[in-house]
Amino acid sequence: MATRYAKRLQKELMELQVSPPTGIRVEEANDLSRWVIGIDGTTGSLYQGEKFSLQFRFNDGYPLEAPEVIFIGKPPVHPHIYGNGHICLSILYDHWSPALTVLSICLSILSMLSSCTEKVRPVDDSVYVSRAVGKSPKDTR
Amino acid sequence: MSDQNVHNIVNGIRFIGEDDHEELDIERIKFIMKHTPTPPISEYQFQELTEEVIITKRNKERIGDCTICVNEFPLDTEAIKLPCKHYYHFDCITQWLKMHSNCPNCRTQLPTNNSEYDAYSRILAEHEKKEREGINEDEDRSMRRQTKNSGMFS
Repeated sequence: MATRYAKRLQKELMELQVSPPTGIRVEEANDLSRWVIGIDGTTGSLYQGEKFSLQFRFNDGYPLEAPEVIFIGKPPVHPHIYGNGHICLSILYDHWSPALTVLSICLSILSMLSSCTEKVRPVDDSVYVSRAVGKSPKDTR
Repeated sequence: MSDQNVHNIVNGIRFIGEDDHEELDIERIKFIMKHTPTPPISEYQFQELTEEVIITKRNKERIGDCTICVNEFPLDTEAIKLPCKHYYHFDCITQWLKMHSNCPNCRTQLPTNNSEYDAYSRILAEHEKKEREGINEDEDRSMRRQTKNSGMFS
């Protein structure tokens, strides 16, 4: 990882560990390039009481390139989240901005869950999942 | 994005390239723009549009830190100011703009090195402005003619 920006990741990690917002916590970050962040379904949403884990992978391009973010374990049932944990969210791909952070991504995903009105998988879930085996969501579009 | 979407975009681009702008379908442009990452800035535009600002005790607090590397701007160094009044280190922002010509903080689009992309942006901006102002149909047509011309000469 380029030293210039490794410092940014360290800062982000420290802030998340020292003062995590409600419903967001660092579950694993032994290696700076792979973190697991736990998020809790927001009270009052369809996901209230459910817990999920997001895996973040950072390459040397971060923050000029988006991290790879997927759900690991059991992903939420949501029209924009595939059964393999891949997330259809434009800020993770074409609409990434280096001013976004791990925290702002987590908040966007929580907001995406909170605004959901029906727990269903994407219409093309089975096609996508079979096509995406072993691939990063950044390479399947 | 599914293969079908990619297919639609490719067809969309061809449609726009070959046809008269009068035929342009706003929805189609919106779709294309939504699925096209912002192209890079041109070197010329970077020189024209950005400003170098010296960091002083007076402006340091107001300017804050660079949101790309999250480091501060040391006193007496230069920060780069974009037209939307957001500040970055030279190295940080040039690396970003070489990939995508927009402001990381507010996404204000700067001119790109792709005149076709910029023409679509203008068409969309004019369309949105028109929608806000609620212009009637006749003006709508004359507006479309103008758009056509600005697209051709960009």
